[in-house]
Amino acid sequence: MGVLSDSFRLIFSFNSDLYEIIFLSLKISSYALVISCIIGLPIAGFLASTNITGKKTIIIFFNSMMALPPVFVGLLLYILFSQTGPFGFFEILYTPSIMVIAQIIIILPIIVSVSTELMQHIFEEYKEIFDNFEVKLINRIITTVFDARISLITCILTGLGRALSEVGAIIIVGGNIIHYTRVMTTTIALETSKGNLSMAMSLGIVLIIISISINAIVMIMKTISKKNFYD
Amino acid sequence: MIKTNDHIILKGINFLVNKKFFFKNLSANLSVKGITIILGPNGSGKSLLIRILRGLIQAQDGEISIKLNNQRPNIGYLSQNITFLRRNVFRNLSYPMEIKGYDRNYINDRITSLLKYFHFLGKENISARMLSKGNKQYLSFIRTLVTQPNLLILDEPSSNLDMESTKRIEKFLLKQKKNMKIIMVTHDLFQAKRLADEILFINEGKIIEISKKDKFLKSSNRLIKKFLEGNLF
Repeated sequence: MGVLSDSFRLIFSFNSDLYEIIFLSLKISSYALVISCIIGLPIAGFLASTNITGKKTIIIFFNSMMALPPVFVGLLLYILFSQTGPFGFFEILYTPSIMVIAQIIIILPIIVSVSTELMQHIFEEYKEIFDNFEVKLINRIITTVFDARISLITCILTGLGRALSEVGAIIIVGGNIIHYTRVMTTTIALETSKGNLSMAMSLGIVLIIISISINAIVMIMKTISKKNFYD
Repeated sequence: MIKTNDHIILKGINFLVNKKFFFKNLSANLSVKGITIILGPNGSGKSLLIRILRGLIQAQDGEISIKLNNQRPNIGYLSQNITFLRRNVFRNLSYPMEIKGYDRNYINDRITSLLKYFHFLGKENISARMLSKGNKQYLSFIRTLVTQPNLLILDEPSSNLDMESTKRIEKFLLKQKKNMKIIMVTHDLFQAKRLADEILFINEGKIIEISKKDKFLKSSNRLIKKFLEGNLF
């Protein structure tokens, strides 16, 4: 109980170190999420709206990538971006930039796979409208993405949850440098190993609060959507 | 005005269902004026025929050539399979115009006038997917008109409608047949008699007869007689 009360005290004392870590986590995960959506949603829209050769292979690829171990992603990026690696000249190892890249690699397949499935369902339903009104491919994609928006938000928030809870890759590529690359999950791992359970627990509580908030937003949006029968 | 070289021709259409010919060398030359009603018993291929005519389904062989007002027509097609976007009534109606780049003011005026004509005003903000089956069909009919087509292809447009809405649609079709070609599938023989200028009768994938209404109603064909007597379903 002592750990728990200390954790809450830490949260409500607005400890600057704690909140710096929380904001950095949110910043890195948000960047990763936005970039993943910018890349992933058009890919998903395109995959859902067309029957190109190799479509199934691409879907299988992204589905398989969902199961990619984050530690392996971290290792791969470490090899590629270390000074002796082919992309070493970028000099981004142990910076927030490479942490964003690592999170993109982890959440992009989720965004693509889940949203492709969601949009495919809508696209098949709309196919007759599209064919009948001779809608161009780009407009088909835009319409499908727009009309799948409520379901897509669920998918996007799942991606955010995944990014925020990720630890394996970013601890390797970020290095867990205080005031620079230290985020919630890496701090929890570090502080637990040091025996500083109050700090670890307070960050865990914050993670749970964020997770509950995300789920609450999803539920509210779904309810609004159902209320309007737009689903 | 419709010019003399206008035509609606289907030539040598072959369409296979489960590796068997459903349409075999099917050809038809439809009138370019007035209302052509497609009649036939269940499963005769009426809907399939107009889906091929609309270009929604590709036949394995054959040629479809449509020219109205000396150019490719602007087609309005009403399917039996009614689908709406996850949007309200107004935005479902505006969609076909928006994607073709119509002016916003024109879209508003066009939709308002159609809704007014078809007594559908006041429902603009309701989700189209929330409407009753009948209203969905009615709205779907209105949607076929938004881009001012000069060829209207309708698959049983009033099968779920009440008498009043059916009458309103029929009145509209009779009024507009001077300005647009209408091809319509119906099961309702009385409706066919009320609307048709020309009737195409199809049975088991074969066109039995295409003729003017009066000639069709006096046809000596055994199948048509049977159909007109209500003994062919």
